[in-house]
Amino acid sequence: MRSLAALLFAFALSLSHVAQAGDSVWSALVLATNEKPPAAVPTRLENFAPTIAKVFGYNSVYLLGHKRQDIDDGTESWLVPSREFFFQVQCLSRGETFYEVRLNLFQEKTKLFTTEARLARNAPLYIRGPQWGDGQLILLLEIR
Amino acid sequence: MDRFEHDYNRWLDGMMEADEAEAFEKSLPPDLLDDKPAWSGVSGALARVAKSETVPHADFLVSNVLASITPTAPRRSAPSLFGLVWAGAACLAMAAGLAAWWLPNVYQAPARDSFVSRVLKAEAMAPGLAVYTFQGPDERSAIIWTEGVPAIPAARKVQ
Repeated sequence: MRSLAALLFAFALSLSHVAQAGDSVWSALVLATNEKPPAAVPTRLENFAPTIAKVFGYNSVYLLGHKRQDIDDGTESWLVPSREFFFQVQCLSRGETFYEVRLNLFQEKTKLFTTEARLARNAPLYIRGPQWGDGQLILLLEIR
Repeated sequence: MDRFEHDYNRWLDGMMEADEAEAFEKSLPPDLLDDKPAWSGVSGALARVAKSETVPHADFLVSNVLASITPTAPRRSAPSLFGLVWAGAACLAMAAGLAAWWLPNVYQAPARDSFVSRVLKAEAMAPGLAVYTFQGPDERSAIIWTEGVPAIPAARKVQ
Protein backbone atom coordinates (compact mmCIF):
# COMPACT_ATOMS: atom_id res chain seq x y z
CA MET A 1 0.00 0.00 0.00
CA ARG A 2 2.89 2.27 0.80
CA SER A 3 4.46 1.68 -2.61
CA LEU A 4 1.13 2.41 -4.25
CA ALA A 5 0.88 5.72 -2.38
CA ALA A 6 4.44 6.58 -3.39
CA LEU A 7 3.62 5.81 -6.99
CA LEU A 8 0.56 8.04 -6.94
CA PHE A 9 2.59 10.82 -5.32
CA ALA A 10 5.29 10.55 -7.98
CA PHE A 11 2.59 10.61 -10.65
CA ALA A 12 1.08 13.81 -9.21
CA LEU A 13 4.53 15.40 -8.87
CA SER A 14 5.46 14.53 -12.41
CA LEU A 15 2.26 16.05 -13.80
CA SER A 16 3.29 19.44 -12.44
CA HIS A 17 6.90 19.17 -13.58
CA VAL A 18 6.63 17.60 -17.02
CA ALA A 19 8.49 19.56 -19.67
CA GLN A 20 6.06 20.59 -22.35
CA ALA A 21 5.73 22.82 -25.36
CA GLY A 22 5.26 26.39 -24.24
CA ASP A 23 7.88 26.20 -21.52
CA SER A 24 10.11 29.20 -21.16
CA VAL A 25 13.38 30.05 -19.50
CA TRP A 26 13.42 32.92 -17.04
CA SER A 27 16.63 34.73 -16.21
CA ALA A 28 17.27 37.43 -13.65
CA LEU A 29 20.09 39.57 -12.35
CA VAL A 30 19.96 39.96 -8.59
CA LEU A 31 21.96 42.11 -6.21
CA ALA A 32 22.47 40.47 -2.83
CA THR A 33 23.58 42.52 0.17
CA ASN A 34 23.67 42.38 3.94
CA GLU A 35 21.62 45.07 5.62
CA LYS A 36 20.29 45.86 9.07
CA PRO A 37 17.39 45.40 9.13
CA PRO A 38 17.04 43.16 6.07
CA ALA A 39 15.19 44.72 3.15
CA ALA A 40 11.83 43.40 2.10
CA VAL A 41 12.09 40.57 -0.41
CA PRO A 42 10.63 41.40 -3.84
CA THR A 43 7.69 39.17 -4.76
CA ARG A 44 9.50 37.70 -7.75
CA LEU A 45 12.39 36.61 -5.55
CA GLU A 46 10.43 35.11 -2.65
CA ASN A 47 11.24 31.56 -3.74
CA PHE A 48 14.93 32.32 -4.21
CA ALA A 49 15.80 34.45 -1.17
CA PRO A 50 16.12 31.52 1.29
CA THR A 51 18.63 29.72 -0.93
CA ILE A 52 20.55 32.94 -1.59
CA ALA A 53 20.76 33.54 2.16
CA LYS A 54 21.88 29.99 2.86
CA VAL A 55 24.36 29.55 0.03
CA PHE A 56 25.73 33.05 -0.50
CA GLY A 57 25.15 34.50 2.96
CA TYR A 58 23.16 37.66 2.14
CA ASN A 59 19.96 38.71 3.87
CA SER A 60 18.67 41.23 1.32
CA VAL A 61 18.02 40.85 -2.38
CA TYR A 62 17.12 43.28 -5.14
CA LEU A 63 15.91 42.44 -8.60
CA LEU A 64 17.97 44.44 -11.09
CA GLY A 65 16.53 42.96 -14.24
CA HIS A 66 14.80 39.87 -15.60
CA LYS A 67 13.81 38.37 -18.91
CA ARG A 68 11.66 35.49 -20.06
CA GLN A 69 12.19 33.63 -23.31
CA ASP A 70 10.42 30.68 -24.93
CA ILE A 71 12.54 27.59 -25.18
CA ASP A 72 12.54 25.28 -28.18
CA ASP A 73 14.59 22.27 -29.20
CA GLY A 74 17.77 23.09 -31.08
CA THR A 75 17.28 26.82 -31.20
CA GLU A 76 19.72 29.34 -29.86
CA SER A 77 18.47 32.38 -28.05
CA TRP A 78 19.79 35.28 -26.11
CA LEU A 79 18.71 36.19 -22.65
CA VAL A 80 19.55 39.69 -21.61
CA PRO A 81 18.51 40.29 -18.03
CA SER A 82 20.77 43.37 -17.91
CA ARG A 83 23.04 45.28 -20.24
CA GLU A 84 26.11 44.11 -18.30
CA PHE A 85 25.36 40.35 -18.41
CA PHE A 86 23.62 38.15 -20.90
CA PHE A 87 23.24 34.47 -21.67
CA GLN A 88 23.40 32.57 -24.88
CA VAL A 89 21.14 29.56 -24.44
CA GLN A 90 20.89 26.57 -26.75
CA CYS A 91 18.45 23.79 -26.01
CA LEU A 92 20.25 20.51 -26.71
CA SER A 93 17.44 18.11 -25.85
CA ARG A 94 14.24 17.84 -23.98
CA GLY A 95 13.33 15.09 -21.54
CA GLU A 96 10.03 14.33 -19.93
CA THR A 97 10.73 16.64 -17.02
CA PHE A 98 13.79 18.66 -17.99
CA TYR A 99 15.78 20.43 -20.68
CA GLU A 100 19.44 19.97 -21.39
CA VAL A 101 20.93 23.29 -22.40
CA ARG A 102 24.28 24.78 -23.30
CA LEU A 103 24.82 28.12 -21.63
CA ASN A 104 27.39 30.77 -22.35
CA LEU A 105 27.57 33.65 -19.91
CA PHE A 106 28.92 36.92 -21.20
CA GLN A 107 29.90 40.03 -19.34
CA GLU A 108 29.71 42.65 -22.04
CA LYS A 109 31.92 41.20 -24.78
CA THR A 110 33.80 38.76 -22.57
CA LYS A 111 32.65 35.15 -22.40
CA LEU A 112 33.03 34.16 -18.74
CA PHE A 113 32.20 30.48 -18.94
CA THR A 114 30.39 27.84 -20.89
CA THR A 115 28.38 25.10 -19.28
CA GLU A 116 26.03 22.28 -20.10
CA ALA A 117 23.27 21.78 -17.62
CA ARG A 118 20.12 19.83 -17.11
CA LEU A 119 17.39 22.21 -16.01
CA ALA A 120 14.25 20.78 -14.47
CA ARG A 121 11.12 22.83 -14.19
CA ASN A 122 10.99 25.06 -11.13
CA ALA A 123 14.46 23.97 -10.06
CA PRO A 124 16.62 27.09 -10.58
CA LEU A 125 20.27 27.48 -11.45
CA TYR A 126 22.12 30.06 -9.34
CA ILE A 127 25.29 31.65 -10.73
CA ARG A 128 27.57 33.64 -8.52
CA GLY A 129 28.72 36.69 -10.46
CA PRO A 130 31.16 39.45 -9.57
CA GLN A 131 31.01 41.88 -6.66
CA TRP A 132 29.25 45.15 -7.37
CA GLY A 133 29.99 47.79 -4.77
CA ASP A 134 29.21 46.23 -1.40
CA GLY A 135 26.92 43.61 -2.86
CA GLN A 136 27.15 40.41 -4.80
CA LEU A 137 25.65 39.94 -8.23
CA ILE A 138 23.81 36.66 -8.67
CA LEU A 139 22.28 35.40 -11.88
CA LEU A 140 19.23 33.14 -11.82
CA LEU A 141 17.99 30.81 -14.50
CA GLU A 142 14.80 28.78 -14.23
CA ILE A 143 12.59 26.77 -16.57
CA ARG A 144 8.94 27.80 -16.21
CA MET B 1 -73.90 -29.05 8.20
CA ASP B 2 -77.23 -28.08 9.71
CA ARG B 3 -78.71 -29.27 12.98
CA PHE B 4 -80.75 -32.04 11.35
CA GLU B 5 -77.75 -33.50 9.51
CA HIS B 6 -75.75 -33.38 12.69
CA ASP B 7 -78.40 -35.23 14.65
CA TYR B 8 -79.00 -37.64 11.76
CA ASN B 9 -75.33 -38.59 11.66
CA ARG B 10 -75.26 -39.09 15.43
CA TRP B 11 -78.38 -41.28 15.15
CA LEU B 12 -76.83 -43.36 12.37
CA ASP B 13 -73.62 -43.83 14.35
CA GLY B 14 -75.57 -44.84 17.45
CA MET B 15 -74.21 -41.98 19.48
CA MET B 16 -77.61 -40.85 20.82
CA GLU B 17 -79.04 -41.82 24.21
CA ALA B 18 -82.02 -44.20 24.01
CA ASP B 19 -84.66 -41.61 24.82
CA GLU B 20 -83.08 -39.04 22.50
CA ALA B 21 -82.89 -41.64 19.71
CA GLU B 22 -86.50 -42.60 20.23
CA ALA B 23 -87.62 -38.96 20.00
CA PHE B 24 -85.48 -38.40 16.89
CA GLU B 25 -86.88 -41.50 15.16
CA LYS B 26 -90.42 -40.20 15.70
CA SER B 27 -89.52 -37.05 13.78
CA LEU B 28 -87.97 -38.93 10.84
CA PRO B 29 -89.87 -39.77 7.65
CA PRO B 30 -90.37 -43.55 7.20
CA ASP B 31 -87.95 -43.85 4.23
CA LEU B 32 -85.06 -42.54 6.35
CA LEU B 33 -85.81 -44.98 9.13
CA ASP B 34 -84.63 -47.76 6.83
CA ASP B 35 -81.19 -46.16 6.54
CA LYS B 36 -80.03 -47.19 9.95
CA PRO B 37 -79.94 -50.98 9.41
CA ALA B 38 -78.16 -50.49 6.08
CA TRP B 39 -75.59 -48.14 7.61
CA SER B 40 -75.05 -50.51 10.54
CA GLY B 41 -74.05 -53.20 8.04
CA VAL B 42 -71.61 -50.92 6.27
CA SER B 43 -70.01 -49.61 9.45
CA GLY B 44 -69.67 -53.13 10.80
CA ALA B 45 -67.85 -54.21 7.63
CA LEU B 46 -65.57 -51.15 7.81
CA ALA B 47 -64.75 -51.90 11.41
CA ARG B 48 -63.73 -55.40 10.47
CA VAL B 49 -61.58 -54.37 7.49
CA ALA B 50 -59.96 -51.23 8.83
CA LYS B 51 -58.12 -52.89 11.66
CA SER B 52 -54.84 -51.21 12.64
CA GLU B 53 -51.79 -53.37 12.30
CA THR B 54 -48.57 -53.05 14.27
CA VAL B 55 -45.63 -52.49 11.92
CA PRO B 56 -42.46 -54.36 12.83
CA HIS B 57 -39.30 -52.13 13.01
CA ALA B 58 -41.40 -48.95 13.00
CA ASP B 59 -38.44 -46.72 13.83
CA PHE B 60 -36.53 -47.95 10.79
CA LEU B 61 -39.51 -47.32 8.55
CA VAL B 62 -39.99 -43.81 9.94
CA SER B 63 -36.34 -42.94 9.49
CA ASN B 64 -36.44 -44.18 5.87
CA VAL B 65 -39.54 -42.15 5.12
CA LEU B 66 -38.00 -39.04 6.68
CA ALA B 67 -34.80 -39.55 4.71
CA SER B 68 -36.73 -39.83 1.48
CA ILE B 69 -38.70 -36.60 2.03
CA THR B 70 -35.88 -34.49 3.51
CA PRO B 71 -34.28 -32.12 0.90
CA THR B 72 -30.76 -33.24 0.01
CA ALA B 73 -29.29 -29.70 -0.38
CA PRO B 74 -29.05 -27.68 2.82
CA ARG B 75 -31.20 -24.63 2.89
CA ARG B 76 -29.19 -21.47 2.17
CA SER B 77 -29.38 -18.88 4.86
CA ALA B 78 -29.29 -15.14 4.17
CA PRO B 79 -25.72 -13.69 4.16
CA SER B 80 -24.75 -12.11 7.45
CA LEU B 81 -23.46 -8.54 7.84
CA PHE B 82 -20.14 -9.94 9.05
CA GLY B 83 -19.80 -11.96 5.86
CA LEU B 84 -20.64 -8.96 3.71
CA VAL B 85 -17.97 -6.87 5.46
CA TRP B 86 -15.37 -9.54 4.86
CA ALA B 87 -16.42 -9.87 1.22
CA GLY B 88 -16.08 -6.09 0.78
CA ALA B 89 -12.65 -6.08 2.40
CA ALA B 90 -11.55 -8.93 0.17
CA CYS B 91 -12.73 -7.05 -2.93
CA LEU B 92 -10.85 -3.92 -1.85
CA ALA B 93 -7.68 -5.89 -1.20
CA MET B 94 -7.97 -7.51 -4.61
CA ALA B 95 -8.46 -4.11 -6.29
CA ALA B 96 -5.45 -2.63 -4.48
CA GLY B 97 -3.32 -5.62 -5.46
CA LEU B 98 -4.35 -5.36 -9.08
CA ALA B 99 -3.66 -1.60 -9.12
CA ALA B 100 -0.23 -2.10 -7.54
CA TRP B 101 0.59 -4.69 -10.15
CA TRP B 102 -0.98 -2.92 -13.11
CA LEU B 103 -0.10 0.77 -12.57
CA PRO B 104 3.70 0.34 -12.75
CA ASN B 105 3.28 -1.46 -16.05
CA VAL B 106 1.31 1.31 -17.72
CA TYR B 107 2.87 4.30 -16.05
CA GLN B 108 6.58 4.59 -15.41
CA ALA B 109 7.13 7.44 -12.99
CA PRO B 110 10.14 9.54 -13.94
CA ALA B 111 13.17 8.99 -11.78
CA ARG B 112 13.64 11.44 -8.93
CA ASP B 113 16.77 12.71 -10.67
CA SER B 114 14.57 13.95 -13.51
CA PHE B 115 13.16 16.68 -11.27
CA VAL B 116 16.59 17.98 -10.32
CA SER B 117 18.61 20.67 -12.07
CA ARG B 118 22.22 19.65 -12.43
CA VAL B 119 25.34 21.13 -14.03
CA LEU B 120 26.77 18.47 -16.31
CA LYS B 121 29.97 20.32 -17.12
CA ALA B 122 31.31 23.84 -16.82
CA GLU B 123 34.39 25.46 -18.19
CA ALA B 124 35.83 28.88 -17.44
CA MET B 125 36.55 30.84 -20.60
CA ALA B 126 38.14 34.00 -19.20
CA PRO B 127 41.68 34.16 -17.90
CA GLY B 128 41.97 34.01 -14.12
CA LEU B 129 38.44 32.71 -13.73
CA ALA B 130 37.53 29.49 -11.86
CA VAL B 131 34.17 27.77 -11.91
CA TYR B 132 32.81 25.34 -9.30
CA THR B 133 29.48 23.59 -9.36
CA PHE B 134 27.39 21.93 -6.65
CA GLN B 135 23.82 21.22 -5.70
CA GLY B 136 21.72 23.68 -3.73
CA PRO B 137 20.50 22.96 -0.19
CA ASP B 138 17.10 21.84 -1.47
CA GLU B 139 18.87 19.23 -3.68
CA ARG B 140 16.82 20.35 -6.70
CA SER B 141 18.58 23.58 -7.57
CA ALA B 142 22.14 23.85 -8.88
CA ILE B 143 24.84 26.38 -8.14
CA ILE B 144 27.66 27.66 -10.33
CA TRP B 145 30.20 29.42 -8.17
CA THR B 146 32.65 31.63 -10.02
CA GLU B 147 35.88 32.96 -8.57
CA GLY B 148 38.08 35.60 -10.14
CA VAL B 149 35.48 37.69 -11.95
CA PRO B 150 36.69 41.29 -11.62
CA ALA B 151 34.54 43.34 -9.26
CA ILE B 152 32.40 46.04 -10.82
CA PRO B 153 32.75 49.52 -9.35
CA ALA B 154 29.68 50.71 -7.48
CA ALA B 155 29.43 53.79 -9.66
CA ARG B 156 28.99 51.73 -12.80
CA LYS B 157 25.49 50.87 -13.95
CA VAL B 158 24.76 47.17 -14.48
CA GLN B 159 21.01 47.35 -15.05
